[in-house]
Amino acid sequence: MSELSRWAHSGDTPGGRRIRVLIAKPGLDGHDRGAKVVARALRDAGMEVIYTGLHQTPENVAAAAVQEDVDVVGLSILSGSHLALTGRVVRALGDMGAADKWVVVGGIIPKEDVEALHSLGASAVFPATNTGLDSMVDTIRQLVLG
Amino acid sequence: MDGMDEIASRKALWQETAQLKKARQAKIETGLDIAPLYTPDDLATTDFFRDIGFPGEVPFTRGIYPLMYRDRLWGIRQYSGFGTAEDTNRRWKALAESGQVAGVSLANDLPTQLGYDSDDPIALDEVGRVGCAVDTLSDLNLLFDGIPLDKTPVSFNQSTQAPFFLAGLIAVAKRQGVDQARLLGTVSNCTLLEYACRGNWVYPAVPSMRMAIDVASYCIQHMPRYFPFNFFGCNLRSAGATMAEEVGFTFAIAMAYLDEALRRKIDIDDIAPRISFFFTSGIRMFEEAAKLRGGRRAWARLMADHYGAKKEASKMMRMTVYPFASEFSPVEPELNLVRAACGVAAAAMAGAQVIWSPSIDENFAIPSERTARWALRTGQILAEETDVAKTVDPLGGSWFVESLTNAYEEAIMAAVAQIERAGGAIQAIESGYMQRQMADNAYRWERDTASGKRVVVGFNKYRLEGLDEEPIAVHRTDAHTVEAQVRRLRQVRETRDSPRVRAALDNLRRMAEGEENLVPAFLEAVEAYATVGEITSALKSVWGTFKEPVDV
Repeated sequence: MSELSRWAHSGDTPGGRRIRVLIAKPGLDGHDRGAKVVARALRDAGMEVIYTGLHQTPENVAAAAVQEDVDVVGLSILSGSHLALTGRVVRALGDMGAADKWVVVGGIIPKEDVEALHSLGASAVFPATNTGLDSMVDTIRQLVLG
Repeated sequence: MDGMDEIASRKALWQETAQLKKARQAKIETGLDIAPLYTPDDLATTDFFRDIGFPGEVPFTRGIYPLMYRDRLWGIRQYSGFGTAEDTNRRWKALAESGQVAGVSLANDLPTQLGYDSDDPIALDEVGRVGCAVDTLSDLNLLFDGIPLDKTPVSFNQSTQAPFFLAGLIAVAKRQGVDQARLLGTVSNCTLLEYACRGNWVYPAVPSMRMAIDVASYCIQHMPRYFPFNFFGCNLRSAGATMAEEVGFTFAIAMAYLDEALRRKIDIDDIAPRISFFFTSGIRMFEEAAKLRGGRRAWARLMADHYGAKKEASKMMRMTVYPFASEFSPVEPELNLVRAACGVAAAAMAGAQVIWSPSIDENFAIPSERTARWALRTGQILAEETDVAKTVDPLGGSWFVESLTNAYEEAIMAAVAQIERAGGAIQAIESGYMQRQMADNAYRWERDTASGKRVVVGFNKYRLEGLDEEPIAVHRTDAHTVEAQVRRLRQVRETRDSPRVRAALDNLRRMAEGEENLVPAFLEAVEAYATVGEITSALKSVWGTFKEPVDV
C-alpha cells in the first residue's frame, strides 16, 4: 500500500495527516485498562495515540495536549470525579490557547451527568457500559473531520 | 496402571460411535481443547502420591490444611469502606450483624492510598469517594471503635501506605490494651503490583521494596499472627491478564520480594510462611478451580525446588479468592448474583481460605447496604446450604479437573518463565512489558465481547428489546462528609504536639536515607499524629517518585 492510500484508509484530516489523540488519566484514579483498550482501538483505526500515564493534573493534561499537538483530548475517569476534572481540563486548555481541541470523556459516568459534561465543554461522552469501541472511533472521526 | 490400555481402546470405540467430529468445540483459556469426555487414561502419567496426594501435605494439590472446611469454613471478609471512619465503622458493624465474623477488609479513598491529606488541593472531589478517608491516627481510632483487635483479623489493601497502616493498627491496639504480638490480619504490601495493574504507587521500585521487606521483617520479629504480604494477583486479572498469567505473573512478583528478603539475610523459612495471595475465580468454575489447584501445586514445588524451603508452611499457597466482576453484566444486573454464586462455588471447591463476593452492582456503583448484604449471603448460602464444603477437595480425582489442573500448573510455570526471560518482575514492570501483555489481552477481551464470541447472557445474547444497561450510580461525596473530614484533620493539626511531629518526620527522613528498618520511625510519626500527607511528602523528598512506562 502506498503512503497516500494508507492515509486515505485511516480517515485523515483534510490536511493529510493522521488524527492525533491524547488519552489522559487526570486525577488520582489508577485504573487504566479502559484507557489502554481505547488507545489500541484508535491505533487500529489509524489514529496516532499518546498516553499520559496516571495521576495527571488538569494542567499537565492541557500542557501535554499542546506539546503533542493533538486534535482530541480523551479523558478516562473511573473514580467519579469526572465533573470537576473535565471542567478543569477545559479551563486549562482555554488558558493555554488550545480551546479548539476536542475534549471527550469516558469511564464510569452516570447518565444524569452527561448533559453537565457537555455544558462543561465535552464534545462527546462515552459511559463505560454503554459504548462500543467502533462507535467511539466513529464519533471521534466525525468530530475532527466534521 | 492396569486396564489403561483397555480403557483407551474402548474409548476409541466410544468416540467412533459417538461421532466425535460432531462435538461442538470447547477450549480452556490457554487454547487447549476440552475433550467431550475424560477417562482414567487421561491421567496415565499422573502419580497419585507425587501429584495429588493428601490435603495438608506437599504438594498441597488438595488443600493446604488436612480437614479444610470440615474443620473450619472459609472466612468471609467483604472489602468495604467509604466516607469517613465513622461511616465505615458503621458499615463494618452492619456486616458483622449480618454474620460477617471473619474480620474486616478496609477500602480507602484515593488520596489516602496516594498519600495526600484530605485538604490537599489534589484531593479535591476524591475524599471519601472510593473508600474511607484516613489522614491520621485520629481517624484510625474511630475506624476501629468497638472492634476488638485481639479477635478481629484486619486486612489492609495498602501497599504504598502499608507501614503507615501497620503502625496505625499497632497504635490503635495499644489503646485497646492489645499487644502487637496478638494482632491478626494482612496487608497487601506489594508496590510492584500497584505499578503493574492498580496504580496506587508513589515511590520508585528500590525504596518501595526496601520498605516492604522492612514491614515483613518487623512482622516476622514482632507480629507472629500478621501476614505482611498479600499478593493481589486478582488485580492483574482485572487489568486483562489471562488466568495463567494472573497466577504466574503474581508468582514472579512474589519471587522478586523473596529474592530481596534473601538478599537481606532473611531465611526463606521465616518469610515464606507469611505470604498469602489474593486471586480470582469466575464463572468457568471447573477451569478456575483447576487454575487454583494447579497454582497451589506449582507454588509448593517452586518453594521446594527453587528456594530449598524446608518448612511445610513455606510451601503453602494461602489464598483469598473472589469472583472477578469483569464477567458481570450491566444489563439485568440482578443476574450477577448467579454469576457470583458460580464464582464462589469455584473458589470453595478450590479450597480458598477466605472468599468474598462482589456485589451485583460492583461494576457501576459503590454497593448499597442491601447489595453488600446479598454478596455476603451468597457466600453464606454456598457454605451452609450447599454441599461444596461437605468433603475436602470435592473435585479431586475428577479426570476432567485433574487434567485441567495439570494443564494449568504447566501454563502458570510458563508464565513465570516468561517474566524471568523478560529480566524478572521488576524489569518486566519498569519496562512496561508485563502491562503490555495484559492490555493486549484486555483489548482482545473487549473485541470478543463486542462480537459475541464471549457470551454474556442478556447483554450480547438473548438481549431483551429495549432493556438498557443499568444506570451507573457513582457514590456522591456528601459535602458534609468532606467538611467533617477536613475539620477533624485541621483540629488534629492544631491540637497535636507540633515539635514532636517535626522531630518524627525528621527522623523518618533520616532513616529513609539509611538502611535501618523503617517501621519504628513510622510508629513514632503515626503516634505523634503526623498525617499521611506529611509522611508521604517526607519520603518523596528522599526517594522521589516512580517513573511510569507510558508506551502503551
